[in-house]
Amino acid sequence: MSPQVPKGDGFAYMSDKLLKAGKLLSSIKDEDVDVGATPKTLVMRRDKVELFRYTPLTEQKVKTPVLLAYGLIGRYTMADLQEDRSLVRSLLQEGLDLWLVDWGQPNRSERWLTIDDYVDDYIHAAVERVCRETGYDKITLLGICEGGVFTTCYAALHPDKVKGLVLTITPIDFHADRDDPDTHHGFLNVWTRSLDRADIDRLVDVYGGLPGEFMSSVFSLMTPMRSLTKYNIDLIDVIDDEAKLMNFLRMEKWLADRPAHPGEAAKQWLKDLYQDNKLVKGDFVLSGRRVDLSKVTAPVLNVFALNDHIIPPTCSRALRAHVGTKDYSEIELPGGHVGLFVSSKSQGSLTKGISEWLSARD
Amino acid sequence: MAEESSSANPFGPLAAQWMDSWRAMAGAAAGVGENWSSSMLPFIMKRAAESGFGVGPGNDLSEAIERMAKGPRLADVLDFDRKLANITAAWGELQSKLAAYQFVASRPWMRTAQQYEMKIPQPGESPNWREQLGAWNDLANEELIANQHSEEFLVAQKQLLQAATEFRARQSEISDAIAAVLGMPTQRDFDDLTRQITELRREVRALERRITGAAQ
Repeated sequence: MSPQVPKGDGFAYMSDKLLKAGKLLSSIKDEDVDVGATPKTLVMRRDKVELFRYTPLTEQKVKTPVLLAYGLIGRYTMADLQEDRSLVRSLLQEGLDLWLVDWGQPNRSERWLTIDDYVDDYIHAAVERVCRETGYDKITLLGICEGGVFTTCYAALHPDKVKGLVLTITPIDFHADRDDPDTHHGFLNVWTRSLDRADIDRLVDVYGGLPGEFMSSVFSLMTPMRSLTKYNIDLIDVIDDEAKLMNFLRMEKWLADRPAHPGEAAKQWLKDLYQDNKLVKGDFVLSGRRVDLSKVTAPVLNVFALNDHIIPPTCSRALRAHVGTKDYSEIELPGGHVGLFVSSKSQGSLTKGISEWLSARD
Repeated sequence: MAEESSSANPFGPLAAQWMDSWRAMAGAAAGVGENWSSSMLPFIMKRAAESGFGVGPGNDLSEAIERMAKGPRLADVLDFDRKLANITAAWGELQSKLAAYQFVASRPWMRTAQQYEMKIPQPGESPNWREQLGAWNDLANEELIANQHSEEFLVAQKQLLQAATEFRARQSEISDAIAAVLGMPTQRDFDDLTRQITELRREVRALERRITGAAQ
């Protein structure tokens, strides 16, 4: 008598698959799920911040070095999630000289770090080092999300060091969510504005930063049903397909790797930018200097996702009206905040758009 | 015996009165406990108790050394009670805000159920469970997102966050008190230290840049 195997798509069948999923997951080790695996070399370390240079995958076609900067919410590995879904790898295959500034794993020790430190110290030191290593006196910056805000501020404050600025899913006008007709967009903006300033101060003072798991839960709220069905229906659906299962696990690993956002920088991020919208008002001050977006004179490529529920496209698109350069381009792509980097559909368009734009200005 | 003790220390009754007032406050409501902790009173009471309420023999140095060796005294212990009362009150507040939040957060589910009921397959229609679940998910997603943008939800969530951070602050108060008793650095000490390191680092780097700039 062989055991009766449930068939079809009924609940018994699904329960059986869930059991199978449990067994399979227990056999996969953490090191099997590799993210951020594209080879790179450590060039400089400054506190917890590290500067890497990616190993070329082909002959260099774009000579000007490109420095990639992610934000402090989540990690850069989103841009290098897996071999066939990696912006980093795709750009290397297009012949870019790609560098990465990795913020590491900030914790309470970094509680007093401000955005001033990230822009005027860490990014500045990284840019200077890249210039020294390559012989260039100015480079291209590629900012992702909050990293895009940092690189924009850097381009405004140090225009002599920036040859080009590529932004992806970057908020510039933090109140422009009100202009986005999609009601699924902009919860982060609405939520942050609903807080009292004292709540933000208290949260940061008590935890010493913005806890990573806290931000994760806010993000989960934005796609409520997807968050609820992820570990049952979605997991069951991919359990028989090893490649899909590994994709699922890599994404989970990236989502779980969410260090705390340094405290004082979090206060600036939430109060000065999300609440007071100081960047577009021209009131945002770093290291005693006003960040004037009209001082961004380098060519700008602004890429955003049309279904980005975290950074509404209207918040990114607003940059056009504020920059000082006439060489301003936009690429709008289908998909969401993370999908822009990991979906096979937008991957090609994103890489092609960036590499062509860079080549034309090299 | 009471008379003997009273005559041995004429300030005894006064100190006892102080302590009685203190105990009375310790038994009072949670709000009072919070006021106590955030006021200067425990600080002054602790200082007063350490100096024998002003009637000690005067050997301050030896007493101070003895205190350091023995750790906290009566006043500290009672202050710890206060801290425990505060954390209990904060826990109660957190539970109450959590319940209020859950009430608001549960509404979209009820609305979803009502709408779903109206869409229940008619006789002759036989969608599989996936299609039914999909329909349910679509409705629930819309309702949940609409609810999140409502003023009621935002207020409930803000109050929950406030209660959670308050509870965490009270937890830290307890751990700081324990750390102080054991002679270990507190969270505040750690924050002070990291602030100094961060500021020092900034100064060193500014100096470094100035020197490099001058040399070029």
